[in-house]
Amino acid sequence: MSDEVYQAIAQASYGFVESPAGCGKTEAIIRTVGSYCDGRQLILTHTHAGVNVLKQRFRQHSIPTEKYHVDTIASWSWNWVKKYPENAGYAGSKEIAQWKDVYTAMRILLQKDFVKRGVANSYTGIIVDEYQDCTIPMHQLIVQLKTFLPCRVLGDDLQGIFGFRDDPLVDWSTVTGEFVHDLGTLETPYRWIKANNEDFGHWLLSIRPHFHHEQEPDYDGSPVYRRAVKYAELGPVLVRLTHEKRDRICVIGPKSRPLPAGIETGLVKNKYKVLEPNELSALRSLILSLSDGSPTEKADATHDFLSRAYGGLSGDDRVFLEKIIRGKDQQPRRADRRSLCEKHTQGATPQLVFDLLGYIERIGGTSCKLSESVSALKCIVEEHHETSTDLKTLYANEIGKRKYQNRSNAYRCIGSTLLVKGLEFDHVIILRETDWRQRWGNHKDLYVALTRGSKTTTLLELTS
Amino acid sequence: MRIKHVEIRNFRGIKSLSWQVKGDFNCIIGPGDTCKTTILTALDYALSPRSVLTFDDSDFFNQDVNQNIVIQVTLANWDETQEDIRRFFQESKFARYKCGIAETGPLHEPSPDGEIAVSISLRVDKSLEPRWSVVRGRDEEEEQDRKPIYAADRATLGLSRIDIFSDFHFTWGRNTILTRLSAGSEGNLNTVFSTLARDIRGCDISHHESIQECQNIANTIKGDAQKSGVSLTSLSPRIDMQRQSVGTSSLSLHENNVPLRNKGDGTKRLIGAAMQMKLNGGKNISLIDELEVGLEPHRIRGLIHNLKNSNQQIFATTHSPAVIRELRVADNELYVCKRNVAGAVSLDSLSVVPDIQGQVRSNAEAFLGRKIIGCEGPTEIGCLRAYDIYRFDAKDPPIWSVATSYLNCGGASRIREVCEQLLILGYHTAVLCDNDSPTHLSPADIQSLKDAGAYICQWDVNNSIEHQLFADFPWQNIAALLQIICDSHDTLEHATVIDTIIKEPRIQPQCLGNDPAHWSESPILRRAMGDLANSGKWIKRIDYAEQVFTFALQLLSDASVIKSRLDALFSWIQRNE
Repeated sequence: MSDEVYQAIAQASYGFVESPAGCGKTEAIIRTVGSYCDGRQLILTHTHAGVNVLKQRFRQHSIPTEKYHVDTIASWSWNWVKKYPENAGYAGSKEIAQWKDVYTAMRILLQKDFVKRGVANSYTGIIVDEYQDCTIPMHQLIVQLKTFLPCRVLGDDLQGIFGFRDDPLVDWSTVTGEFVHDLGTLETPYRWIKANNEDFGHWLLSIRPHFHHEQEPDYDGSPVYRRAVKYAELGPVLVRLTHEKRDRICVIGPKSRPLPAGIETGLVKNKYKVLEPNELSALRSLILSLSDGSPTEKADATHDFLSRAYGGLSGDDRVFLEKIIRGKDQQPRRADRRSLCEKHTQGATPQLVFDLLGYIERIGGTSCKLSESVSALKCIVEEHHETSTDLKTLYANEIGKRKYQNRSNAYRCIGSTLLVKGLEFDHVIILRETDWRQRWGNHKDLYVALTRGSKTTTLLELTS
Repeated sequence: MRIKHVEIRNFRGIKSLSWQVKGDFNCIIGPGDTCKTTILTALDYALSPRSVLTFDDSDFFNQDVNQNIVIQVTLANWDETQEDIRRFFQESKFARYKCGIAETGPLHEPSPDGEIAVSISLRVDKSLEPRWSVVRGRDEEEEQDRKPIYAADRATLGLSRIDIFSDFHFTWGRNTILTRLSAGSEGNLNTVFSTLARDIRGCDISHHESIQECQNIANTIKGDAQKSGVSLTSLSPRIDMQRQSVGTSSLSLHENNVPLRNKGDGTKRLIGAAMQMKLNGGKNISLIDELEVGLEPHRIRGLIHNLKNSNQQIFATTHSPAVIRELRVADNELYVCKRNVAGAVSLDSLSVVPDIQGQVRSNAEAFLGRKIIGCEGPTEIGCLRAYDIYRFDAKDPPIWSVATSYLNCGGASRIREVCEQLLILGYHTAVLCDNDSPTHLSPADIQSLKDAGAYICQWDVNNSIEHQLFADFPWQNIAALLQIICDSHDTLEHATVIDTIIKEPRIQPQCLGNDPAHWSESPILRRAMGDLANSGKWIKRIDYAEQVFTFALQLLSDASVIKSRLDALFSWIQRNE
């Protein structure tokens, strides 16, 4: 049955495959490319985690690298656009990509004969994974590719979620209209079969119509464990659940903001790791302000970064930090604080931020919540100090170096639906308010959250 | 692919060179020591698929190793339907390294509707380690965006050097033309050789007398080893083929039992060229230093004809008029190489000189020298030839030995433009011309040529060469001169000449007799004879003029205008510029 779909994908010059979560989409790509395609396929997806998973699976199946190239749409496009900004009509920075312009620029490039030939020389076809995550400019870019190469897309409109500040995603009906041929649907819930939890898989497939109508499914008799928790009890409940579950676990919070700081700090103390987006957005804002901002903006950005990155800072420390980053006079008694004050009188500078990281880590009782951003920041400032290269370039290099490090293998994670999309855990705890549609996310976010856990899924409804 | 632009910096004699290549057949001429061969070597180093290349300090301009050697060659015009070209321009290779090109060289990006190019750069720094990369735009600094290109990928560019160094190409060694032609079979070839090596090792050579002596030594060693506690079962001398380099490079083309490398240079060159033409379906680039070497004129002609019809791009140097005559100036097939003392080398197409093709055919030698004397016409050339011999007899070196030649400019009216362009091409140029026709060659023209650096040898005002000859010539020998003029000329009758002179309207009143020996000297008579010689074309052929001046130069006084001016011109020729 599945092989027919794989064959159809390989043979089609364009078409789409509807692929619900956990139903072997990666497998479908691997098998299609490995068994049914000639030449080399370009496989595009959205996240570096996705790239990693695909590459690993290709290697596991011993498929020769001549048969595939896996990349994110972003980095594949950027690799072209940064070489030919003039031809692409791209006027943005060449160190840090301005993503909103990159896709349009790439589409323009794909109209140039020399680029088209380069792509056509390299690949015999394109397969796009997670198509529901394509923004409209990305979709237009793929449509341009479709004019000269076979182009097949896999996706699930129920997983098409995006942040409030992001560009809107392409509408699924636009996708089916453009790619016309329905090459089949993947409907074997491999993820749950593997976890001896097949019923959950079938339940998830059965509730898809509810979600298509933007309704919440009925949990009665479902494998989802649902309970209400008072905010005050939340910390202990989470710790207890964590210890009960043992395997890989993920706490999924609201989409657009972090978990309450106290809860987050508590979890981090219990060896949870806060997932961060690839571009380390907290660090990115800090770097941009430190490079180009006014003194006030620099100080604000430093303040925001430190309070986001560290939990457990005392009130006293907060006052000290606030003053030093604003360059205000203070006469601290403690020697470590005094030496910092003597060294830094200019307010927020890269070196001050670096020294403050050291200070915070030495005082004890604090926990680092953004370990990724903090370690990247240290590397950047050290190199800035040694080589005087500008911060933005160093940031771009650092992100480039880190992008293939597999961060999603942390044993215990905290993330939003945006960050856990495409990842897989044994256990999932969904944390949401009762008025979740206003403050937590929409029905697609819920679908994504419900499909992340292969063994158990717990839905905690917060009451005050 | 076609080479469109070449830039060389700090390589051997070349401090800098930027060359926009215009055509498919590019023959470089120019005097010695202008780095013609260095240019071919640079192309070879930059593009040919060799993996080992040794540099030393003397490869750096002025031995200054702090200035990197950069050889950057920009190519365009490939056929992207060809399989190897498509592989070359994949994303994993150089798809994102296509660049643009302008007259001045490569551009970072293709310009709208502009040509698409790819630029290969060979860089050598003081570590002497050559590094090949593909760059976009001019290779200005180490840190530039570049991607290494290895020998196997450079093979796609299809460049081979097929001149005297090419014996190796008659073997199936690494990356030779034969190996590239038999792509795919290398693996099997290696099997042949390793089997062969094993067979040789297995050969019984023990019955040879000298091997038996070796055996005796082996036996004593075996005994000694025993004493040292090492027990060996048997010890004998055998051929260790693994230690010898028996490989595919031992496989070479033979005619019967004679290896092709033993053939004459010319034959080898022709066979090499034929092999190269087969490579990549003929779409490739050949370098041939001194194209004419070992070839008779008819074989040169044949080779050039074949090369031009072969779909290849050719870069050649030559010192042979036989080669030059075969080339078309208007198609930019001839480039003149010049180099200044600071090492700046430039190449200009001979087509900048208007209507030069005829000269290239008839007077090819002129373009091979360092100095050119632009002559108004055949008379001047004949005169100079005679003067050259005259000076040679007086133990002076002949003109040709100082890399100087004559060029017929084709009349007074064309002297200025021809000589100006010769100066641009880098030839040290002198002008030998009449001074009787300001409408064709005005004093302003002369001044402008002087300003451009030309040396001017001109007769007195209102004088053509014939006028000057009759004005300067010792009167007592006038009769002999007239006799020589007539003797040298194919059709001119002595009686007719005498008759024309005495009937000349200005002379007729003098009622001269038929014997010029009895004519009495007068400026008007000298002038009239000059006029008649000029208008009657008495010496307007190289051989006429040569014979007449050979005679005349013996008798002209050193103080005469002709001799003193020619003497000054000769000093210019001998001057080391």
